[in-house]
Amino acid sequence: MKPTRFALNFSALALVLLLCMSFPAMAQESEKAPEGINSGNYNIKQTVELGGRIIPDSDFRDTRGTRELFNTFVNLRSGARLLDYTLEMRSLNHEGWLFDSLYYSNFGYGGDPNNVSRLRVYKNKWYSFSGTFRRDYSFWDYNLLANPLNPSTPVANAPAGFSPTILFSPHAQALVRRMSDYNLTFLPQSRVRLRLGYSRNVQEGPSLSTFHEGTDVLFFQDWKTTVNSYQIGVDFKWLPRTNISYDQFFHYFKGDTSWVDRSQTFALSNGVPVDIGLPINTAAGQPCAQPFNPSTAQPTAPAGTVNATCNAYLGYTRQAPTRTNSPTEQLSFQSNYFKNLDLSGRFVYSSSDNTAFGNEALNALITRTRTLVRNETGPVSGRRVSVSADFGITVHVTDKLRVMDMFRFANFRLPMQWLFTECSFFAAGNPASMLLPPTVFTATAPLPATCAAPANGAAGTPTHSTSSPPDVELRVSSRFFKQDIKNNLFEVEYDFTRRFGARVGYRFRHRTIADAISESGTYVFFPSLQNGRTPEPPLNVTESGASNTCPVANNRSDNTCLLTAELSDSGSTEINEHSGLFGIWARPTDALRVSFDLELMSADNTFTRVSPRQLQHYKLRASYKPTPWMGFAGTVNILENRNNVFQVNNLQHNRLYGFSAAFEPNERISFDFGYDYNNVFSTSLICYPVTQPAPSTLPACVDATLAPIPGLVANTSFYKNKANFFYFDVSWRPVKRLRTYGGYYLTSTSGSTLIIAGPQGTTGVIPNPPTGPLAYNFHKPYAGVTFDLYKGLSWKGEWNYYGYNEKESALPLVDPTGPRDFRGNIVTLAVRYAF
Amino acid sequence: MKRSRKLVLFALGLVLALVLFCLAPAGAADRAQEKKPAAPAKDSSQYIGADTCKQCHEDVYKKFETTPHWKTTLGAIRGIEAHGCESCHGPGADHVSGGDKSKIFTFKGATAKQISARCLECHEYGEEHSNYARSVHKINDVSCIDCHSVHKAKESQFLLAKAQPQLCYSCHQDIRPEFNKPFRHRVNESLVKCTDCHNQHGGYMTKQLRATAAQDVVCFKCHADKAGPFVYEHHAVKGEGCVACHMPHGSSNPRLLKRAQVNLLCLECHTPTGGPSDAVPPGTPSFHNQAQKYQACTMCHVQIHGSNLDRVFFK
Repeated sequence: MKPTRFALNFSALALVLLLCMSFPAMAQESEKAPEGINSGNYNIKQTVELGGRIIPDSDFRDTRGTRELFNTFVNLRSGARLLDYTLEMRSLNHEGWLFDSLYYSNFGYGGDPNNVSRLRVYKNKWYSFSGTFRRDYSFWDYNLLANPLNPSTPVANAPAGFSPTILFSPHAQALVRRMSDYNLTFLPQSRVRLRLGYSRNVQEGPSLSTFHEGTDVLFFQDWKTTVNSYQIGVDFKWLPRTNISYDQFFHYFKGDTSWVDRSQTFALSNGVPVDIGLPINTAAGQPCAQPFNPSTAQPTAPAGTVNATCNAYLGYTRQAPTRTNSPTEQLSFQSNYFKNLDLSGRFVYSSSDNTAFGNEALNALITRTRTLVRNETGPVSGRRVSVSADFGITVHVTDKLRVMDMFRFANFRLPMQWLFTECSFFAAGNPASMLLPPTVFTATAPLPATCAAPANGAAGTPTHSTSSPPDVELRVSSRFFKQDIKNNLFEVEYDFTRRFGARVGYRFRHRTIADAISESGTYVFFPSLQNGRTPEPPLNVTESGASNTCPVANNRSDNTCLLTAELSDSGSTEINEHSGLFGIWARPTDALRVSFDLELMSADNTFTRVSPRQLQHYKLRASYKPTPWMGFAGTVNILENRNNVFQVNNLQHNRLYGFSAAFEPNERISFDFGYDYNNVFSTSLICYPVTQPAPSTLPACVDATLAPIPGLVANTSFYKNKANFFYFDVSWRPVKRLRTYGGYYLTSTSGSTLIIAGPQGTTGVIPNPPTGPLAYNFHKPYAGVTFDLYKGLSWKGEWNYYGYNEKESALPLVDPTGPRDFRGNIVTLAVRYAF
Repeated sequence: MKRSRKLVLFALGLVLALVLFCLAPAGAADRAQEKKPAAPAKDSSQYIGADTCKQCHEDVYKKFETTPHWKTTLGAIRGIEAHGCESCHGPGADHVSGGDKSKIFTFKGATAKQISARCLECHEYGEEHSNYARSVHKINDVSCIDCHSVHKAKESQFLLAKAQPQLCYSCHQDIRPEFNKPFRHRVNESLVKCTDCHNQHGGYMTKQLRATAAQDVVCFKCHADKAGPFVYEHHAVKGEGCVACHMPHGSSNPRLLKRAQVNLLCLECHTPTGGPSDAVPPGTPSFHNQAQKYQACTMCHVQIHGSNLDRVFFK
């Protein structure tokens, strides 16, 4: 029998541990920082922790305890690891040859989802270098996210083994993000110093996405984005107590993510693979009323094959390579040149160029429009221009009185444009069928764009529906968005005694948010229904609200119709916010500290319906440390915000109360624990379209004149979530060479939210949306032991448990994947050597 | 609501009691502290050098020797007053002559203002520390040595008294539960540090947030694909920031969302009534019948942070 990977890993670990245990028991306290080894002019200290993790597969045999969910939250796996490594080198006389000090640390290599390396090197007077590399493997398959939640009801005539239930997230991803940051400063202590910086952020990996047209299809999304950032800066310190800096940043973004439909898991009757999409809701025509051919249709349509008149995808690809170049200049200063005056300021100007090229090829039957082939292509161009200026001043009026002011001006504007052509070819047959080639019409009059006919096209006059888009389209879609912020904070601080101080302040913020759109299009409608169709929104209607169609059936020699249309609009929002601030700090005794902050804000407008028009924020923090080995802390953090105006009725709060205590009476034992209670609440009026069971229970949504808005009902949306968080950690060293420790972290939540009810069924109103993670328990107990084997050498064993359980809901929710649970035991064994 | 008001009133009462307690006349010990020698002397004869300090404080000096501050002993970088132990503790001649602790500046018992002023004499250099005078930490009487331990640092890097995030949790304990929620940024896992997003020494932005070089929100440093600019911006992202929809530290909801159901989150803004007259977002079209089988908005509107190719964020 071939040994399993787990058995091999375990054997390797056991061998390492056995070897380690064979050392003579002459252990000292290895967790103390090592003295290090003096070699040449350097003192060198190193610690290395090698080991591995063991995660039994049996934890995931429960059908609800999926490994995918465990990996979404925890993502630890079995295998050998470099759990920790540090290297410190310090020049004994602080005059090393290449460096005076070097610090290098890393952890997680060998398979953990997070790997981090940090390096700092310093040479007195000459340079200072810091570098960080971080790798984050993010696995995500929370199966409720973007899940169409198909009922498990069998689909008529479906192939054997087909289940409509989807047990994974259609937006699952397994991405790796690698981030590097390097900074080098030359002559760090001189009057002129030079700084260089480089950062890189690469995110790539397989992921899933969805696309909505006709139906919702699952795409393979090959994620690849790269950012390279460069910085060069110089600091001048010619004036006493004054620093002036200039920085130039270059930021390059590359987005090369692409999308492709690889889910053609079914076949048409002619054997061509086809994707019917994710949602199965035949009553609503998703993907159609009868997705699979019945057996009676044989032999032309074998049973289990896909109905060729259904919404379905034969193929789809999309690329949109994006490039953004952002040079940014920054001038900043800080000065204490004037006595009793502390100044700082910064000016930043950035102007980025953004280009992309969209290229979409769709080969799918969209039954509503009869589209069978569509190609959309064209360049994107635009800019982001950002200007910001900051200024801060503190005037030390007396030793006890300070006056402070901070001003910020920030403005960005985003002029963007997409110029594209779209060519559509329509399905033949009635109803439209994928089994027939797309119809290709040969226009003799000039077209605004060149369209390549599909290879399998058949010449003829296309059959359109009134929803069919133009056959040829050339469009310029321009957008503009800007925000301008002026923010000023004025505060007066006064120290009444050396144990008590207070401050009072006023903040004013003015925001102007503006946007504009400009659309223009040239459309050619081939026969048929040349003047019975409209362009796509927003140019589908004229300014008067009428359908924007060709005025006549044909206005060109080849019986086609050409339509040009334009639209422009703009708007802006002005918001003035006034905040009063108050704060005190106190140290009644050396052991007791208290601080309290209060902010009261009122605004005359909001940008979104749930942005605060009034806000109150209270923060109280206290800590009490009567002895060096005992400490208590408490926090109250209450945020109340609302936009409680007519037809919004938004009220929100986020209240948090916490308490913690820590005890460390001696080096052998320590204990700490804490409890926090968090109460999140929100309510607001919402309007949405819904088919109500008779008699209607929800009022119609009304506009500002109280006239009903057709098709929309009004309801009060609410969200309540109460979270209790408790933790304790304990560490005990019964004998000098043995340390045991353990703890428990628990988050337990409960809550409720609006359930938008569906139509009346035989068992009553059917609630549609699942409550999801509103109520759950998340347990994280752990325990460990460290045994000192030899001088600097110790053995470590740790057990961690992760248990997540969504609480069952009493409501008959449409959630075939829930409630989501997992449990995972992780045993980590390691040997640590410090020398 | 009533319970909350009672708690607020209780907190205010507590604060008032503390104010009265603290406003009481300072004790003799406090007055003695206020008379601490603080200002560096210009007379070079007042400085005795680190070797003299070492004679009595050898254990402290031994540790000090391993820290970056030891370089202050390597020649008078910025004058004799910035040399060795006395660069922080001030001139030591009077202290040495009689052994009187009150004749030299000690950080124990000094005010946060005094402590920070000492440190900033050297460290107020560059953007990182340039706004400390206006930082939330400073105005709440938090001094440098509340986080940094010059002689007893547990972390050799930056001489921190504790490693992040435990150091930050010791005051900001209300944040600890958020990073223990199932959906959270990997702060406890040491992938992300609090100081990656916040400038602990003060900054120009609210909540002492950092920003990208181009003064965009700090989130875009890692989530670069969401930064755009896009032809079709989701205005809430650029107008209100990521926190319009997300909880930045941690959340009970997937994707750190503010609501358990994404549809309700969307509908809170996408309701065509009561919003600002010039910025009404599109309401929900009639064909989005919520009575049909549940379907999350983001299943179709996948590029919800912004798109170059589709005005309704389908692609």
